[in-house]
Amino acid sequence: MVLEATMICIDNSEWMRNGDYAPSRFQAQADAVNLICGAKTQSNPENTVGVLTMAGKGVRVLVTPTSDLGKILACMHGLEIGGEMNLAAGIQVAQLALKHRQNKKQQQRIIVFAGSPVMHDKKALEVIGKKLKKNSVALDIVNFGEDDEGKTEKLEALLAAVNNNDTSHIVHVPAGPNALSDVLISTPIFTGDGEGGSGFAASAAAAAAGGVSGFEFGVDPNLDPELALALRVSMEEERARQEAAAKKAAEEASEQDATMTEHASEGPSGADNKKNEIPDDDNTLLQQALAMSVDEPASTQDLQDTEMSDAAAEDPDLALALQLSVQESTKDSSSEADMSKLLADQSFVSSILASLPGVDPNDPSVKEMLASMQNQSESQQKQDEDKAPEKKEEKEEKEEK
Amino acid sequence: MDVIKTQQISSRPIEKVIVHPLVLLSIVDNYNRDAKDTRKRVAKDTRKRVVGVLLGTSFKGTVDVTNSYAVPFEEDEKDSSIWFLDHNYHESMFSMFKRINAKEHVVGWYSTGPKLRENDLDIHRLFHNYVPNPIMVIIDVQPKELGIPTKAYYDVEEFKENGTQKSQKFFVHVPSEIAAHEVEEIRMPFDEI
Repeated sequence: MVLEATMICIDNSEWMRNGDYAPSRFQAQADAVNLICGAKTQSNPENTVGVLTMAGKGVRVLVTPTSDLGKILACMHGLEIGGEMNLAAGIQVAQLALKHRQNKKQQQRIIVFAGSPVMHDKKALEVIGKKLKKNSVALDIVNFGEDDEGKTEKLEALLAAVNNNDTSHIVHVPAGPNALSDVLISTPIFTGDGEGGSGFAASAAAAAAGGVSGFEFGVDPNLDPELALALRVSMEEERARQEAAAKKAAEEASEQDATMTEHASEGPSGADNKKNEIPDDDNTLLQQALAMSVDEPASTQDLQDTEMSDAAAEDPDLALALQLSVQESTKDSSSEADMSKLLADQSFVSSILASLPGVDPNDPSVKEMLASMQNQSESQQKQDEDKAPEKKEEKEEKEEK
Repeated sequence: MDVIKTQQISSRPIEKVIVHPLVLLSIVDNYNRDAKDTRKRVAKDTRKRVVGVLLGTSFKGTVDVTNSYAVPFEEDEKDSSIWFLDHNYHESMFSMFKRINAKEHVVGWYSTGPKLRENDLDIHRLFHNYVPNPIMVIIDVQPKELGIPTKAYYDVEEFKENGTQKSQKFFVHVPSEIAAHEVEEIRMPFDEI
């Protein structure tokens, strides 16, 4: 519950049009700013927050430090994107604004959103940093957006110059599915305020994000930490499994790496929620998959794809197997015959099955299935050899086209 | 924020500025309070200056400045593009002044100069948000020569002839005088200020 006067420096330069942070960098920034304002004013009623923009026609103070949250949120409306960010000027004007705060007892803090390349050189930034330190102003830097040569270094240097007893922080937010504001919640920028601030921030984020999309596992860590933890752990396990399977697949069919990882990434999103159901469905699905691959491969690829994508969504390893089978089938049929041989090879199949979580190779039902598959493949091989010359002709025609 | 809608819709060019003695007094008082004893290490003739808002009325090209107040203003002594003027303070202050005299509107701003500075155009632009045609008055608080201590300006936009460059703003001087209503005529010896 620190009594603080904060100036937030917003980057509204041309670089903020980019959409790598959903929905756009500028919008993500605006959301983060709203969140910070809320958190600050909540943690201590006497806190004041001000906002200024660094780009556009020049550094412009939108609202001087005030505790009126409505005013702050209102001034964020109708901001235009354009120009280049002037980091040094922005920080200096913010410092001047803090100098004129009404309550001299408030601690001074500047929060900078640095989304575009930094034009100034390291020396200049360090000088500014020292001046801030002299005036006991703390500085928080949010490094997001553009990452050009030296930007991170410069910002780190600036932070080092300002930092006094670890009151200043820097946060690097890479582009990704997580919203900027969500990432910031867990950083010292928020938690530095104390428990009150972070509690508000988390609940506000839940309200704003509709409660589901805002959090990685659809569960608010604050509301149900154990469940969130359990989900996170299972996610980690899943990832580890995928990596192991991916490595194995890479050894066998190295040229298919690109497509496989694509499928693997599709898997986790659905995999979490269906974790419990996987062991039950595994056997039946696996059966389906193997039957499909051994069966007529020239049959409509589309049908296979839709079936596969359904199955793939449920089990990444299954996806790998399916992918393998599909890939193999599109190649010339000679290798296709090899594939079915491979599948028929019990040891290979059992090793795949062993890597799956819910499937026990010694399980009688699995053994049965393997045996049946073996028989199937043997009869199929003869068929395939007959079909092989036909297929080759088809392939050649296709290639010519 | 009070945007003047009733008056000054017709952007009649400003021909004369009348400054009332009360304004001079309050500006000098402001200067004595805030900036008189500061000494700058960098430039000899530039001292910390005071900036504030001018209130008054405008009628047929004549601007009548009747009241004023100072606002928190800060600028970086080395880099003139770094400046801060607390416009929230101004807005709250103006809303209070409006209560005592509804006729008084924001007409511009003042600076104790003593000369024009580089960031004056930028500050002037800020005042365009509050009044369509603001004036800028420089009050010389320590005049060396005889004459009235005020210099008034307003800004015009000039377009370069080749049309390719962005238009620039310039300050244009406008004649000013010190005048007062009968009730205001308290003698103010200028040489004592």
